[in-house]
Amino acid sequence: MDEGTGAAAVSLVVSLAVLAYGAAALDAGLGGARGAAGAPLREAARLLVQGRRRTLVPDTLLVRTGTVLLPLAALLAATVLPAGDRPVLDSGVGIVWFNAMEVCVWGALWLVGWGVNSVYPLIGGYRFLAQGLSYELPHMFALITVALGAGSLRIADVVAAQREVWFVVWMPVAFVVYLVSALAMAFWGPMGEPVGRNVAGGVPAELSGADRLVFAAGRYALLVVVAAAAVPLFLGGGAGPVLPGWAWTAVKTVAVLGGLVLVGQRVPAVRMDRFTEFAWVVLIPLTLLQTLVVAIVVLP
Amino acid sequence: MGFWTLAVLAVAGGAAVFVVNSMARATFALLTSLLAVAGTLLLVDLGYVGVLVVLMMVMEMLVMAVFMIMYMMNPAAGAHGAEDAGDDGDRDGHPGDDDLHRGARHPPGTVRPMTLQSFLLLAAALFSIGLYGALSQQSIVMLMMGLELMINALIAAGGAFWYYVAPHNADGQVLVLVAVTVMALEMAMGFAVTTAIFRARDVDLTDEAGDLKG
Amino acid sequence: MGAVLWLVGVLAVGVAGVYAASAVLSPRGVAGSGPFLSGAWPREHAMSRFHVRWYAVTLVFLAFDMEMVFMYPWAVVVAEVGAMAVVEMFAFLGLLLVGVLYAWREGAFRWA
Repeated sequence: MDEGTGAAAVSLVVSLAVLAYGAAALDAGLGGARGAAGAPLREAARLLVQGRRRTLVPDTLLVRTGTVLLPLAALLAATVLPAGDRPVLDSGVGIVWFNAMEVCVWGALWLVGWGVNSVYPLIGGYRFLAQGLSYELPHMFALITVALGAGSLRIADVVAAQREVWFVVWMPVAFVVYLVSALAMAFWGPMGEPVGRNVAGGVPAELSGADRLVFAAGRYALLVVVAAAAVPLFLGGGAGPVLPGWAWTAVKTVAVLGGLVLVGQRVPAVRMDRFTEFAWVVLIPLTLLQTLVVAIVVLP
Repeated sequence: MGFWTLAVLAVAGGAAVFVVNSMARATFALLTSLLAVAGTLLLVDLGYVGVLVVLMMVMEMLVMAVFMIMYMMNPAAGAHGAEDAGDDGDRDGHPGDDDLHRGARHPPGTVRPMTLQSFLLLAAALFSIGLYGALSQQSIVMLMMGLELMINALIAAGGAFWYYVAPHNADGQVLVLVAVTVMALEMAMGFAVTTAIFRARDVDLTDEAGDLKG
Repeated sequence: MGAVLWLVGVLAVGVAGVYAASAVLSPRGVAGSGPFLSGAWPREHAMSRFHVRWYAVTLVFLAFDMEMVFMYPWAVVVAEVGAMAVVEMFAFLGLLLVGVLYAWREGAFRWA
């Protein structure tokens, strides 16, 4: 591990933690909590001193695995994103890596939902799988459109390909679909049915104490990562006047993240049995059309 | 060292599929085995194939979990000692299980360098466990897990052959991709057929679906 | 890859720290309890057979999912290979979309 990579790793951890905390605070503030800036801290303290409880014959191994997998997936997905001038893992297949790590969330939620041996979390886990079957394909087509535009699966090349015009300008459909799937990936706001109130909190309903804290932190980290990925993929990465690259990356990430948190507070929940049909019949053909347009543009 | 750790993990995960009592644990043991093999592919410069296997296998195993629960009654009952006399029961108590489990682990001992032979050893171990599963299991889902372990061995061996024998030729990589596709195909076909027979007759054991037996 | 392992290590230490803090700060012991069911008594095992009404979607998904195996490498070489690559890939996609259309007609995407 050379010095540049080490610095990137440290800055990744710090920025992920700061942004996740910020997202949680903003969410609390928009939700009407007083003293929102300290709200996540108070919640963490509450969970740390909370008495632990467990349901009847849970599969503790699976629950713990799923709980820890959530922040782990977010962290590993973030390694290919250039926080400063370079990513921690400069992989030639960075886009596929991001996709693969983000899919691990399917496993995380289902493991927790199944393992606690309770009906509502299990329903939440199933809801997320149904959600995954709906959002994943449009999401993948959006990512492929980006790779097609850049002619590479390396995220640094994607950023370089946007030097003249950002991908959001000529791939607007892919961008919007990416944002929708970003909400779905982090099971946030309108796509938050897997943790919905109508199933008593869904997947984490039976988690208490440290388990619940890790789960919640992982979810906010995931939200940050999916928002941060939009920046190198569609918004030109660190490109911008006057300010240095890392500052522009930060500004754009905060803007996308703030937008997602706001949507989460303001937009009503989407029922998955409706969204599945919409995703397969409208979103997939639409993103494929977008891919076709980009494919024709990049032809020599 | 990294290779042997992953190889032991892959084989142990594969063996655990037919040892553990909970269907959920069996599915995720299989996933562990698949992911460990994906890790070994990353060690031999198969970046795309390795990451792709992670991506595909996570989704496929979750689909598998869905179907598994659709067919099974109380599959988790066995996980906590409350033994079910039903289809969970016949998966334990096989005299061969323990021997298989032990025999399949490579004692790392002196760390040998990673070679084509070591990959083939891993593939042979996974294939044998998969074959054992495919031949010994009665539940169709468990049988499919055996088949998938065999394809997993194929992926490991195919990747190694590409790296050690013909690294300048992309054909080997494409062959591995075809193996990944075959696995998904096997799942889609298998579940379609099983669902049809399950709806019609409430059957998910091979012995009760012997209509075509000569 | 070393840096990634380092990051995983940092996360492991962080998570272990959370669990350790919880173990120290929270009241002794673990309260065993039934599952939360809005106060209702659980009448059946949580893992009893669960009707997944969208299983047909999973089968269509598996087919389309495999498309990705070939589409990621395709995206990289379109500019080199030229128009033929685009025609072939979208013919393939067209075939798959016919399957989606059929599944849609059969009502596979709607289960409530």
